[in-house]
Parts: sequence; C-alpha cells; structure tokens
Amino acid sequence: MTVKLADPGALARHREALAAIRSPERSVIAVCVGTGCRANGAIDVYEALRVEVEARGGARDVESRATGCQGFCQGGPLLLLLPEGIVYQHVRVKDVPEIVEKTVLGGEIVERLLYVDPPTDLQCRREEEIPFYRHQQRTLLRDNGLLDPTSIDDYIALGGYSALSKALDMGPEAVLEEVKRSGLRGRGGAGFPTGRKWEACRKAEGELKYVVCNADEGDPGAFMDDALLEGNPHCVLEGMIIGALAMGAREGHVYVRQEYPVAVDRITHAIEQARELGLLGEAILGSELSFDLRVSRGGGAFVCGEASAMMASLEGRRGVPRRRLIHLSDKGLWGRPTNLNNVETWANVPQIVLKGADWYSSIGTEGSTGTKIFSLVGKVHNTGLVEVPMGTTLREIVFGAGGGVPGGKAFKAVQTGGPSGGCLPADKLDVPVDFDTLVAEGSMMGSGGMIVMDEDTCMVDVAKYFLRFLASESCGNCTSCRDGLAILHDLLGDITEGRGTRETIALVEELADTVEATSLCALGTSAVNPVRSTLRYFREEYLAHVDDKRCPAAVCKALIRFSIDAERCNGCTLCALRCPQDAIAGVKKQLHSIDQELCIKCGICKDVCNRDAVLVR
Amino acid sequence: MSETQASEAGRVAAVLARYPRHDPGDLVNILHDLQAEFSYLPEPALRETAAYLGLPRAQAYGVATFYHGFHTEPRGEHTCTICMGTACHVRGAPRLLEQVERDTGVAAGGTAPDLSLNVEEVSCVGACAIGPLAIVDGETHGHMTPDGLSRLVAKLLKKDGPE
Amino acid sequence: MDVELIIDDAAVTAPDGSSVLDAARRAGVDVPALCHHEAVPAIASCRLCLIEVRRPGRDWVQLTTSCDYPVSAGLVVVTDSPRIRKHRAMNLQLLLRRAPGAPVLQRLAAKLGVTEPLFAPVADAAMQDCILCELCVRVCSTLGYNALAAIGRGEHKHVGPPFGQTAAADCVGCGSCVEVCPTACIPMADTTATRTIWGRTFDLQACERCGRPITTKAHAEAMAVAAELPAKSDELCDACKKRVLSERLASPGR
Repeated sequence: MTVKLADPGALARHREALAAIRSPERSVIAVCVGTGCRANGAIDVYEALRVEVEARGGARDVESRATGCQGFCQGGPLLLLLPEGIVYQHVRVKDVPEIVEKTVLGGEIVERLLYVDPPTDLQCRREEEIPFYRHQQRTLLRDNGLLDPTSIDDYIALGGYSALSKALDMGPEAVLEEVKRSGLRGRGGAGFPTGRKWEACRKAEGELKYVVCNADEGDPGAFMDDALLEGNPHCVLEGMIIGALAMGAREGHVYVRQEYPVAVDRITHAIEQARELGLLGEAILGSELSFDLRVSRGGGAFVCGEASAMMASLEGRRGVPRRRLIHLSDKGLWGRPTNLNNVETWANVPQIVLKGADWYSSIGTEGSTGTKIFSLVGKVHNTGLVEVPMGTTLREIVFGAGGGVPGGKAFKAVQTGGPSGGCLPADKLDVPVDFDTLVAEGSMMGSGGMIVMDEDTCMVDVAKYFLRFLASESCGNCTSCRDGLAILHDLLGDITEGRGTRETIALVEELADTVEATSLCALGTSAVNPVRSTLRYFREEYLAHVDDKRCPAAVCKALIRFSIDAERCNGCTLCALRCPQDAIAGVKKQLHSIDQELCIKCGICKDVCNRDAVLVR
Repeated sequence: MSETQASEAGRVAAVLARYPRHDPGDLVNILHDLQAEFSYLPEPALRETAAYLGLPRAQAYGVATFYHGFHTEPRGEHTCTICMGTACHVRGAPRLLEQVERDTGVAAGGTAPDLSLNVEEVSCVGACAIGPLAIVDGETHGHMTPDGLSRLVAKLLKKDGPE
Repeated sequence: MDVELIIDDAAVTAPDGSSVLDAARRAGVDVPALCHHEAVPAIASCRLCLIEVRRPGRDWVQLTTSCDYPVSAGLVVVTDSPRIRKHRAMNLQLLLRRAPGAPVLQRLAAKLGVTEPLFAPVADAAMQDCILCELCVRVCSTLGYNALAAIGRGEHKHVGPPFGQTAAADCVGCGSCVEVCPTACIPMADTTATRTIWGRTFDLQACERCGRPITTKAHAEAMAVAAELPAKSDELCDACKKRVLSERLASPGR
C-alpha cells in the first residue's frame, strides 16, 4: 500500500531515497515504444530485450525500460543506451542478443546499428552527434527518453513534482506572475498569452472553477501532444495542478481524442498514481489545495479541439461551438469559470516555475518565448518530433534537423498550422518561426504540424485535401461553413479533374471570402487558409490546371497518363500481371503497353516495375 | 423480454454502473464503453443510457451520430483503416483507400453487406514516419503500397471465406 | 432594465440582454433571419442576419450575426452595407441550393438582386428543401416532447426522429414544427378527423361547440398533463372560448 506524501518535505525525502537506490552508473536500455515505433514492431524488440537482459545480465545493474516517443521516428525501432547516450536505430529482434552481449556487457559498439549522417557518411554514436538532435533544444522532450511513463518514481527521481513543491511555497499570485512574465503563449494554435488567460480565470466570479487539458490534437500529421501524454504524462499533470493552484480550480478534465488509446491509458494511470501519493485529491502535499482530474475521451470530431465545442462534448452534447462574447474563463464548462490549455502549454509550466520566467523568456523571440515542438513529417528524411527555440528558421528545421528532402527531389513547400494553416514556398525558408511571423506570411503556427512537400506534390490537390477534411469535420451549424466548404471542395475537384476555368478560380475566391467572413468558429474562418495560401504562392499551378488542363506535379489523375518507356521495359510482364484492370498488354520479353481507355491510374504498375519503366506525365 | 434482450440489458446495466454519478457529462465515455461491449451502439443501449442520465433520447442519438467514432449499425468482423492524415496523403494514402474500395466494394465509413469487413479512414494516428499505412484488425502496416494492401485484405477475408 | 444603442444612426432603446436582431426589428428594421424564433435559443445557423457592430470605445467594426449578439449600452450597429449585402447574398445562394423554390428565399433573392443561382440544387439531401436551421428540433425540445433530433454533422446533417424511426415515437402531433419551419418542408396532412405527420397518424380533437379541429388528442392530453389538469374531453377552440366567455359576460342576471 502506498503512503500519501504528507508534505513537500516527504516528497523530497522520497526523491532522495530513489536516488540512493538508483546508481547514476547503472545501465539503462531505453526502448522507444511510442505509437510510431510501436507500429514498427518496437514492443517485440522490448520484450526480446527484457528477456535477454534477465537471462544474461539480470543480476547486474542493468534495466530495460520502455519509454514513450523519443521523437526520432525515422530511426525507429530506437534504442537509447544510458548513461553513455548511445543511439541504435532500426533495431530488430534478431539484433537484441548482439546488443546485450557486445554493448551492454562488453562495452563495444554494434556499428551497423548506428545512425549515419548522409552528407558526411559519418557514424554518429551519441544523441548529440546526430544532426536531428543537434539542431534541437529538447527542454520538454528530453525526459521522454529517460523515463518509463508508467512509473511515477522515474518522474520524481528526475526532479518531477519539485515544481509543485515550489509553487505551493510561492503561493497562487506569485505563480501567476511567473507564468505571465514568462511570456508563454498557448501551444494549441491560437498563441494566446497563457498568463493573461489564467489571470482572467483567477479573477472570475464563482467558487467552482475548472481547468481543462485539450488533448484532442486533431491536426492530421501532428502528434506532439500524443508523445507528451504517452511519454511523460506526469509533466502535464504537474502543470495542471500548478495551474489549479494559481487559478483556484478544484476540478479538471483531460480530454483526449479517442484515436489515442495509449495516451488515454497513460494519463489515466498517471492520475491514479498521483492520487495514491497524495499529489491529487484533498490537501495536496498537506497544503490547502484540493484538486482532482478526470479523463474524458473524444468521440471522433476535429471540431472538438475548439474550446467551446470541447465543453459541449464534456457536457454530453453535440460538439457544436458557441460564440464567445463572454469568455470561457468567466462562463465555460457548465457555465462556470474554465481555463482550457493545450497539452504542450501545460507541459511548459513546471519548468517555468522551477527555473523562472527570466530563464524561460531568454529562449525564443521577444513575442514568442520558449521552445516549440514541431511534428516534421511528409517528404522529409528525418520524420519525427523536433523541439527548437521559437525563432528558428524553417530551413534549419527542415534541412538541419530534418535532413532535407529524400530521393534527390526538390523541396516545394512546407505546410504549417494544420488545416487552419498555409503552405509556404522555398523562398520563405529563412523565415524565423514564431507565432507572428508565420501569420504575416499567410500561414500560422497552429499546434506544430509541419508537412514537407516536394516536386511530386500537387498544391491544388493539397488544397482540395484540406477542404475535404474540413468539410467532413464541420459541425454543420453554419450555412457558410457547412455548405461553403463542401462546394469549395467540389470546385477544386472541377479544377483537378480538368473541368475548371478561370471563372472557377474566381468563384473559389469569392466563396472563400464569405466562408471566412461569416462563419461562427475558427474551423470555418480559417478553413480558407490552405486554398488562399496556395493560390497566393502557387497560382501558376492552378492556371496550368485550368488553362492547359495539365498537372505539373503529375498527380491529378484526370490530367495525367501512364505509359511505358520503350528504352527501359524488358518485357518481364510483372505490370500486366498486377494490373487490376487488365489494361496492360504485351508479350514476354517485349515492350508492353498501357491501354488508356482501361487505365484507372492506380499506380500499381509503377510500384511493381523493377526497371522504373513506367512514365507518369 | 427475451433471454437475449435480458442478457443485453444486463450488459448495458453493468457498463452504466461504472458511472454512478448519473452525470450527462459522462455520455461520451459511456458510449465508448458500450461500443467496446457490443462493437456498435444498439438502440436499446442508447435508450437505456438516455434514461440513466436523464437526457432526451433524441439528444443521446444526436450525440451518437455526431461523432465519427460511434456506429449505430452493426459492424463487420474485420476492420481495415487507412490513415488519411496530411503526411500520409502526400505519400500516396488516397491510392490505398481507392485500392481497398475497389477490391472489396466497400466505401470508407462503410461495412460489407455480409458483415465481413469495415473500411475506415482516420486522420492521423501519429505514426507518420512509416506512412502511408493501413491498420488491419489493430495491427499497423507501414510503408504500404496498393498492391501490398490488396494482398493483405485478400488474405484477411479469405481466411474466413468459403472454402 | 433598458439600454440605449445606435442602429443605423438612430437611437434605440432595448431590454438589456435581448438580441440586436430583436432590437432592430422592434425599431422597424427588417433584418432577415430564417433560423430565429423568439421562443427558442438562437444558434445562428442561416448566417443571414448579418450586421456590422462597433463596441463603444473601440474603433474597429466587426461583421457578425445579430440573432445571438446581445445589446449593450453604446453599441453602434449598421444593418445595411455593401459588405453585408455581398455576404448575405452568398449565404442566400448556399441556402437556395438546398431550397430552390422556397418562397421566403425567393423573396429575399429579389430584395438582394440575386437573379441567377450560382450552384446547382443539392443532390441526395435527406429532406427536400430543409435548410438545416434546426428550428423544428429546438421548438420540439423547448415544448418538452423531444421527438426530433439533429442527426449527423456537416453537410450530411439532417433532422428527424431518432433511431431512424419512420414513425416518430415521441411526437404528439402538435404541428409546432410545421408552424416554425421557414421553408415549409415538413409534410403534414390534416383531414377533418386525423393528422398525419412524421410518419404517424393522430386523431384530431374537435371543438365541442363548433366541431372544428383544435389539435390532436395526444397533444391536448400532453398539455393537460403538463398543466397538471385532468384531461378534458369537452374542449373548446379558442374562438369558441371567447364566444362563450362574452356570452356569459353579456347575459343578464350574472
């Protein structure tokens, strides 16, 4: 039975006791079992490792530890060997015995598992040598590789909940001041000053106040919040408890999208552990603060990432946003003062309290302090989570940490801000990323999704993709959003299918104006950003589609044709065998040909051809 | 009440009992648990939930149909989910969806008439490094191609199909 | 308590907390608002009731809906401008796509100079001419019957009885939904003795005195229950109630 920690002193003693039995020299093999690596077989690797360690080194001070997302998804399944900091990538079950034998017990490196930096061909042994990590400042993510997210003791041993002790000592007003002075702005997308939001809730009338954690993370391609919840749930909890102290809240909710079942498990478990130790519940650490949390799951609706829609969902209603003439900090959940913040925002709070506002605001830019975690995905070498100080340029993120575009392809655009954001072209790569600079360029930071696109991406198709997504996620309340987005999607379909004209583009622009000007919530008002930004920076691509009926990136099916290159085809018949429409004719060892009438442009022939003989134009 | 109805009612009651507060705010959580129990949301379960929470039936139904995670019709045995997140999209995810729709005749969001298969799309599961991907009966398959998916689905359905 | 605000350069007084839409209409300004009814909460669905507002002490003007915007002292409101007309016209075009023949939309189109539809009529809508304003749902809920639900979301949202019922189980046949529907798209058929609506057929309650139908028996019973009165079978229609009352007042020796 766990005994509740009676006061901050008891917590400090517990931490010391943990340090005493955890030698800094002990070997820890941290296997990433975050969602990405898990999907790549990491659980099997972890199990094999655990068994092997027990069989071989169990008596020694060796621990195998399953961690949350370490961020270097491209290298998954990933192993981090501590205390040396050696990184092994693409680890398979069959590699495990060698790793334990050679590296863990023998102190030698298994060279083939090291990351090799493509431009220099240099082997990188340790995290700090790998460019992906070198370009980052992992204030928030570092601990993801160091702790087992199901162990509250791991968190405490690393210093966890010492910020809470300090906050209890400082008192609510001092904590609020620190958060205000830090310049922290909401990491969910809007970038609203967090301290100001907290202050409004603190000042609001009402005895029962709520704090809510927005873990709905609906932007497709963004998984920073998932990584934080899966990998270090307690840092989010600690942030919320400190927030409850500062704002006078007694109850809280963590609203997690249902597509993240592991995150739901982790945070639920973390809450139970915190309760057991007296870090949640009545008289936290013997103080006057009483606060507890519930976990609520989303039902599958992007719009519920919008604060008032989320509250409707938490009240058992359809997730329809309401207009906010009265702030949610005055009348939010159940009509009571409510403070809603994003996962990453909450995660920043413990460090701000511990290291102070001066430290925090020394990172980043004047208008956007601190670091930001970006989810760098798409046509980029190093897909993963990149944490950098605000003000880092897009170039440094995409080409520095990201390693640039694979396959020798040309960079074309980077999409930021999710479906509410815009696409920025190559000549914007030197823009320093912060809340305000991105807006000035016609995009926005959003929650941190950063999708890299190359010469094979059609920007008209991208705009159409986002409209399809938003139209299907519209709650349906407003005529302008509900029907306007559906029609915009249809119009873009006309353009990508060769039926578009200049008038189509004009109608798109006119309708987009009304959708933006007259929709009730940010889903509608910002839904036009992808199409507007692509029209702004890639207008010639739209014109090629409507004037020449041509798709320069060779993506839009109605405007391309598949053919077989006579120079390269060796008549192996593989394409003809796999073609689902029987559209390819040819005799063995002789040039094959594609019947344009039957071809549905599915691309299977190009996939299976070993000679790269299928041309798409 | 028939025996099946009685046992179903018992299972519903067991789920509702996990939420002793009768709090309308628990509606979505309850729907998740009911769907885990029955693989979809049967009408009697929704009616019982509405009564339990003191909500109009129309509201419970309106909520259940608002969220794409809930299904009010019986589901197929197997599920093939294609991630249509932005990163997977630029890596060719639409082709995967077209392939499975072509192969099985089931559109995204639908269920095969013989209840063998559900085809779904989801916008980002957070495994972007291995996209485009398909999740078949809970197992994620990364770096998917239309051809590979076609074979995967065929294998999946064949093992239950007629000899 | 009343507050004073400016609507189209004229000072207007309105009860604190009422909507700018109501204040404007009371001041004689005709702001179109199809999804609005004073008896139910506003959801600002149709997006036609646009106004431009400036809050006292601020210099920026906001284009917004008026049905869900509360009056406050010193608010400056404009109900007509090129920007309002442009966006109202576009939202009207979107509504015309759903209800091309609806008289109220045709009248508004004439007023706005909208002569040609921009979009082809919507195909495969669940209910023809429905503009998804949810007035029927809100009214039915406010009256306490909750026979109708808003189902699904986005452009496939529709209204109707829950659970795919072809006959609305909780309907009492009061016809309030039909009364409030802006496009008259809810079918209701009355004979001398019955009413058919939402897949149900109800017996009509006839006036004891004149024989004309008042409402459905189910509705009359429901109202009696709600008023905690015994259900009366000798009901009178409103006209006859007045006649009986005036007869009683006029009769000598009262």
